[in-house]
Amino acid sequence: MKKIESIIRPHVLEAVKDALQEIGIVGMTVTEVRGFGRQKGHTEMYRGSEYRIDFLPKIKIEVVLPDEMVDAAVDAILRVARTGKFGDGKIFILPVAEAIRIRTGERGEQAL
Amino acid sequence: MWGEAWVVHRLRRRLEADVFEDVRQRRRVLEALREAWDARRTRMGGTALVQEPNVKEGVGGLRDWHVVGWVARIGYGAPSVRAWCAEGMTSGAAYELAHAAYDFLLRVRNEMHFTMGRRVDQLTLDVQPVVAEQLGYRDARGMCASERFMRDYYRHAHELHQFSEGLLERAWTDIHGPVARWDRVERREASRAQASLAAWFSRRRSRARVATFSPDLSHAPEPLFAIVRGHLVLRGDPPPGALWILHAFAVAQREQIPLSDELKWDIRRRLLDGAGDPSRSPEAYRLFLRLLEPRGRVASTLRQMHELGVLVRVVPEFGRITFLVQHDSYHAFTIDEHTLRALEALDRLARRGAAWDPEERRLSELFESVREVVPLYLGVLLHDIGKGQGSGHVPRGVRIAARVSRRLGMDERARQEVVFLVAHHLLMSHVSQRRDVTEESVLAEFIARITEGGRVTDLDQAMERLKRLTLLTYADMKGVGPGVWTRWKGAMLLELYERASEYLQRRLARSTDDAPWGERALEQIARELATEFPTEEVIHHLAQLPERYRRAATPERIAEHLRLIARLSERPVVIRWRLCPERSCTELSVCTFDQRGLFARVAGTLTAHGANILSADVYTRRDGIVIDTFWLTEVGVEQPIGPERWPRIERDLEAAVCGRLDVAAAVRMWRLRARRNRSKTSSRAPLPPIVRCDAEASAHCTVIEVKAEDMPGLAYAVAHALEALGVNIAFAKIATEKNLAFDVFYVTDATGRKLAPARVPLVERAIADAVRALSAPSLQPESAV
Repeated sequence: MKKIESIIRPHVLEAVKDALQEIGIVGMTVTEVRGFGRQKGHTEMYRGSEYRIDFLPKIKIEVVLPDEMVDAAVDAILRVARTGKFGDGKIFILPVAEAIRIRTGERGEQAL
Repeated sequence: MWGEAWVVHRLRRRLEADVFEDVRQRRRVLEALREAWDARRTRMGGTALVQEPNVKEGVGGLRDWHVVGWVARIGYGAPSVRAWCAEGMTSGAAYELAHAAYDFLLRVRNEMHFTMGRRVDQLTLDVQPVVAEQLGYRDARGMCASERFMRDYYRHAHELHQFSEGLLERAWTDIHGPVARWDRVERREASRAQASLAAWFSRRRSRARVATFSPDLSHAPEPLFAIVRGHLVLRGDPPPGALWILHAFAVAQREQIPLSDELKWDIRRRLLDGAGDPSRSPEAYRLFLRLLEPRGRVASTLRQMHELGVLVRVVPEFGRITFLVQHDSYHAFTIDEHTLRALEALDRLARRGAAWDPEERRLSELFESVREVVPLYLGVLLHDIGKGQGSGHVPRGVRIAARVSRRLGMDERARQEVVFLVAHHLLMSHVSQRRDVTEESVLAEFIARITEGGRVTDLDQAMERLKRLTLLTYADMKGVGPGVWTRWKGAMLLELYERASEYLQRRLARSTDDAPWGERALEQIARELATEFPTEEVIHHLAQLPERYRRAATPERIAEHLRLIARLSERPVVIRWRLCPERSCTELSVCTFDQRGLFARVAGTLTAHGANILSADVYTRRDGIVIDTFWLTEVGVEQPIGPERWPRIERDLEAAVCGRLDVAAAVRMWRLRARRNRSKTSSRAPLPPIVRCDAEASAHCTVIEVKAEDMPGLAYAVAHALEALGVNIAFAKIATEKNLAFDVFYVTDATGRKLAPARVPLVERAIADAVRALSAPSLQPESAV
């Protein structure tokens, strides 16, 4: 099992959710986050001649899924979340040691 | 009670003897009741309009009635509440309403116990629909059964609470005497920190003062009100009609004092008796609109008016949303409560708070810059007025808002603004969070909504509208419930505002004169500097600099630069110093003609004098004039460079620029000296530098980013490496955050174009090597000069 963590632009959240659901992913966790990447927003709007590293609002989506679905999920996210401009975000893939459904106690992929 | 009769008789006898006959004991019991009353109110949320009220203990719950009964018995010897009221404590109408409320609450509680099969007193969200159905409520007219039930519940609870509070106030007065009354009120005000009624009042410790306010009532020439111990009272009996009620609120708002309980009682009684309607007269509406003018004081006044039932007389449509529940976990309050909280959020913006988030501080600035606040306040008051009748609350709200604002006598322009706000109160939330606001097309669409498809052509009007809508969006979110407004959402909202306002200024300029981007902005700046510089010179200057400069530079800064440039005719290098105590640094501006390696020479000279470059802005005009601004401190200490050092540095800077100073040697000397003086500061190896070239970020230059541990001489080392490679620096931004340096250089090759891709790895490596050499621990003698 793997966990996919993606930092995406807020306005593509609906589209990413739909795309993931289309390939069969049923659950996800969404958080409002702030962050910055290489650009640090300095080609963008915050005015003033001060060089500030600003924390831009983004959305983090976390999904845990079976190994065989990872590629399809990553492709779906890339397809839908990319605008080509700075600030599109990143996808990280992490290994998951175990998953358990609290209500039933199921473990492993059955818990997903 | 049920059981042996003699037990009851004995209880009664004991009560008579030990409690009811003993004066001191009675007082003690009454004191305890009063304290419990205050504590309960605070504990239960301060208002009857909580999402899951407690039928027994909540504000406006059964306990209210019980306490009144106990006070009646213990304080006055009256056997029941009815008997007590019959003695003239309150009007018959008030009693009937309260009793009906009590009856309703009893039925609700019984139903809850029967249905749930156990003793529950909390009307939780899952219990509400069940009880509603059992009591015979049905879905109708866009509201589901439980919503209609809860509305009735709130109405009754509110009524019961008003009744109980009023009676108990009089009881405390009677029992403790009129002198102690005001102490009692003041103490109570203090303990009601959370209660909506008294929360906003500031304390006025003036001695008895007379308010010389005389309303425009021809039949009441003498002042109507007085201020006694910080509370507003009526002098004498209430005048006929009901206009004086609105005057009372106006005075209270102006003087920022609370209404006395007596005055509140008079108002309530006048409204109940029906002898006078504060509405339906242009005078009343005019007075009401004036209540919406003082920034920061509107919400509290409107809340008072609503609690006493006055608001719904002036704006009857507000009655539709009073006690109206929105059944989702998102909305924690009834719609009227939500609206009042939104108004309170707006009011709070008028009071500057030092510990605010940057988002709220910016919004506070916006609020201050809005010229007409009445349409904003009215817009917030009416924004959800169309709710409660099924879907389509926005168009319905628009119709109602149009009607209300017309009735209130607002002029056409103000009416349009109110209607606009109500019609679009969800727009900015949606666009900021769901659309890509970096796209021109999205902004264009949004601005088209603001200008109503181009109908609004006046830039000022459009900007005012945009600001008001932003503030309304903020207030709406704050009023929904805790945690709905976050800094995250605030950042999104403000991003939309900033981009939209920029677009708007561009757009409306284009619509008036078909000039390309920036002409209008250029003219604006030229106009501002017209006293000192001819317009052509300003425009000529700005036209030669990149967009970045135009966006980042303030008119003051541009003026400074122009002054420096003007002096370039006298000397090869123009230098200006300025102490920046607020940032603990010194600002140095260097203006000269561009040449190969200029930046390296200047940076190196500064380093050689032991100056640490905190940040730097480098701009090169197309005609070759360079304006470098540095912010400096002394190396090692966070102190600005003192004026006594300036002359020497200036001399060396001029020498360096003119080629008379061997900058590399000077830097080497300084480093040797510094190493000898400095003890081993840390044994940890410095972070490896990160150098990255980006060919896309800029249209004309390659962007090089250097991230390294901040060290004196870093800027020079990088610039020197670039110069050695024949790379030209057009623009630089140097910054340090804690002990990390983030340097950005916009560079071109010798022909003025972006670096060839093949060169990029070389350049990156050269810079990284130069930075690493800085922190090399070995004290090897440098190669001979």
